[in-house]
Formats: sequence, structure tokens, C-alpha cells
Amino acid sequence: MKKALFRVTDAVVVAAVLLAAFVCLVLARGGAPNGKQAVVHVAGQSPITYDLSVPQTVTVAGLHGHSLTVTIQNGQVRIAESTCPDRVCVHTGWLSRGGQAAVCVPSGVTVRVVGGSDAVDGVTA
Amino acid sequence: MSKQLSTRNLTVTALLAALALALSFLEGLLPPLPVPGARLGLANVTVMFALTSVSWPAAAVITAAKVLFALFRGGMACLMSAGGGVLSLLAMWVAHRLLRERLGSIGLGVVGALAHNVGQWLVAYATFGAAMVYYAPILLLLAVPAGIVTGLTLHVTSPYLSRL
Repeated sequence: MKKALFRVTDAVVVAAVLLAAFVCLVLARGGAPNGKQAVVHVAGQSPITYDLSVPQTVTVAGLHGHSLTVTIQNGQVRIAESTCPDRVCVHTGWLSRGGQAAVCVPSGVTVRVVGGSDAVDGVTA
Repeated sequence: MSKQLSTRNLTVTALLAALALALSFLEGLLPPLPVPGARLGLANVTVMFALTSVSWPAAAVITAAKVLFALFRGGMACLMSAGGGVLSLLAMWVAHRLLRERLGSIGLGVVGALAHNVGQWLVAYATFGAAMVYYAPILLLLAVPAGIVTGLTLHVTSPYLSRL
């Protein structure tokens, strides 16, 4: 038997998901000020913290032989280069506000901005 | 269709599993979104069809095939596929059992996409920690368009798939 396309229950499901996303958005990101440090973390290793006020470019050795270039400039940080296949991390672009993060799944590398509002990070770290 | 493992059900399940792998591969050719793990999930259409028109074991077999296929993209991709796939299957099965015809294709698609994203997020959070908090709202939000697209696709293709 063929299913209906859209019924009242569907509208309730969509509305509930949108509400959950909105609540999550407010809780996780609500007006975070600019961060002060970038935390570069390779899975299984100790995180390294860089000051966002010091422009620099660092090379990060990720898992499975992947290599990433992290650039800090004008109080922002981004993954500028990566040898991973999809380069989702590079497409994430510049990060400046506390809580923002770029994640590279294949290389196990995350770059996260902290120091602006540590409220979220303090709870979840 | 009967729950009994007939040659027909076996063949249909195998065809759907092959279709799921092909759709996964085709979708991988699209440019990635700047959100780790975010995809349209077109392969989920086959799981939805199996769940609503074949049987839940068929849907489970297709999910298992997808998870194994993800091994080609690395251990982490496989783990994330497993987290998303299993949670998505469970959520859609429960929604289908509880709501039956009261839930349309789009609702089922959104439930599946949401559970898939939550499952993937949990695996990613276990691996990457705090950095994933930033992506939680986007992944919830993206479940809506992804679910609408997969639900529409199911609606359009199910008359043809039913002729298998």
C-alpha cells in the first residue's frame, strides 16, 4: 500500500525538529563573543592551544598520514590546507567566536575556538 | 508481503541493498557540505521502502550492507555510518509501528534523517569531544530538508519499486 506524502503527524514531526534545532542553537551558540585561543586536537594526543592574537601558520600531523595546515590571522583561525579526501574541514572556513569548530574526520583533527564564552565548553569539555 | 524468507523477498532485499550502495556512491560525488558527516542520505530511501513495503529484517540487512560498504571510506566513516544507520533504522521502525498510515513519507524521512544525524553525532562526539557541540544545531536543522527530499523520493519511486 502506498504511503501518504504528508499528513498532520508529519507537520508535528517537522515542527518538533525545527524547535529542537532552535533550542539547541540558542543553548550552544547564543551570542558567543570572539574567542581568544584556538585549541588544535589530534585524536588520542594532548590538545595544543594557540593564541589567536599571534598570526602564524602551523602544520599538524593528523592520523593515517594526513597533514593539515592551520592558519591564524586577524584573531581568526582556519584549516587552510588538508590532505584528506573531502576537505570538509577546509570548507568550514574561518572561525573566530567561542565554541566554533572545524572537524576533520579522516585525520582525527579538530580546531576549536575557546576563551570567549567558556560556559558551553566548561560544561561539556 | 510475508515475513517468511521467500526467494522473492531475498531477491528484492538484495536489489534494494545494491541500490542503496549505488546511491551512497553517487551521493559521494556531490560536493561536501561544510558540516562533518552531513549528507542528503538518498540511500535511506531504500531502507524506508524496505521497512514500509517489505519487512523490517530486509531494512536491517540493507543497513548492514551500507555500514560494511562504508568500510571502503575508512574505519571512522564505517563507525559513523553504523551509529547513524542503526539509530535511524530503530527510530523509523518505531515510528512506523506506532503511527502506521498516520505518518506520511516526509515524516518518516525526517525521523530517519534526524536519528541518523543524532547517531553520527554521538559517534563523532565520543571521538572529537567538545568541537562537535558547535555542529549539533546544524545537524538537527539539516535533518528537515534531507528528510523532505528522501520522503519525496520515496513517494515518487515507491510505485515503481513495488513492481520489483
